[in-house]
Amino acid sequence: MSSPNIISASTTIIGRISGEGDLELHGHVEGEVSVSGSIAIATGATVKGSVEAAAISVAGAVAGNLSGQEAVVLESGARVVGDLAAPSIGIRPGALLRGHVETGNAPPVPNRAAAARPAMTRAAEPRRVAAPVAAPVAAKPAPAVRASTTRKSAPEPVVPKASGRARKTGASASTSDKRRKPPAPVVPALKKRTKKASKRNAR
Amino acid sequence: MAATVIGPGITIEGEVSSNDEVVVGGVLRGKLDVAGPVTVDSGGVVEADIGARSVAIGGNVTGNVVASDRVDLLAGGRLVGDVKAARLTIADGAVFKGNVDMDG
Repeated sequence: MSSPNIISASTTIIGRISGEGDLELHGHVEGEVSVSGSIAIATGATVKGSVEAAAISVAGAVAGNLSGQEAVVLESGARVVGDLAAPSIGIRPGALLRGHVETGNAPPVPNRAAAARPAMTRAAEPRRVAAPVAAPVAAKPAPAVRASTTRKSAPEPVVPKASGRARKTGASASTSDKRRKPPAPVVPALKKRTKKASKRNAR
Repeated sequence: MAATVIGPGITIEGEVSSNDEVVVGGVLRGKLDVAGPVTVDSGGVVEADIGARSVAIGGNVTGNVVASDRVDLLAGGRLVGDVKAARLTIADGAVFKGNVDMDG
């Protein structure tokens, strides 16, 4: 695990890289990279394929999913088109990302979790990013959630927390559509019906 | 001019090409095409044809070796495949099975 594996800048690998140890990528890889240690994708490096490791640090370009057992960090200058999945995710200012972000996996390593907290709380505020809420999403294992279809299911566990805002309107934990539309007309209608129905039944 | 180091724990299945030096200590299956020197360490296993400027084999190589400069088969090295190079050394203790072409 201590041997530093280096792919130099002028190296191109078309194929699969796997094994134990750490990997420093300065060159170009077309294929899957799966390593038990940490991977550092340096500036100027490109990867076309998924990357799996304990910890991934990206400063180059990646077209593929990044999956970290501990952490995934996109440094400034990183360009990633693909999904990120790790217990703690860091996206530094200047990093470009297009993909799905999923946290909530194995218990995070304390140092990396502290570093990634600003990114997580910042991303938790906008409603669009459903991922960074750790507690409800922890129920779903990360590999199963990577499928694109589960994007629809991902907002569902998040809404129970967001429906705290909707408690005034009395809307139950259903889709976010009810948050946008005023739920008031629906509830009085139900109440009216039940009253009339109980009166009719009484007759 | 940094070297590409493929350590003992790493397996690469595919084509590797480089302009720098390549040191293989792990497993490489496929093709190796390098403009610089190639060294196969004693724990390295290469199941590929190697094309390089110079090749030093201390590990296990199965495949043809074409070098523009020289090929050195070190003690403890094992080569099963043909060699095409201008210069060739086979150390005592090395294992070699294949054809040698040093002419041209």
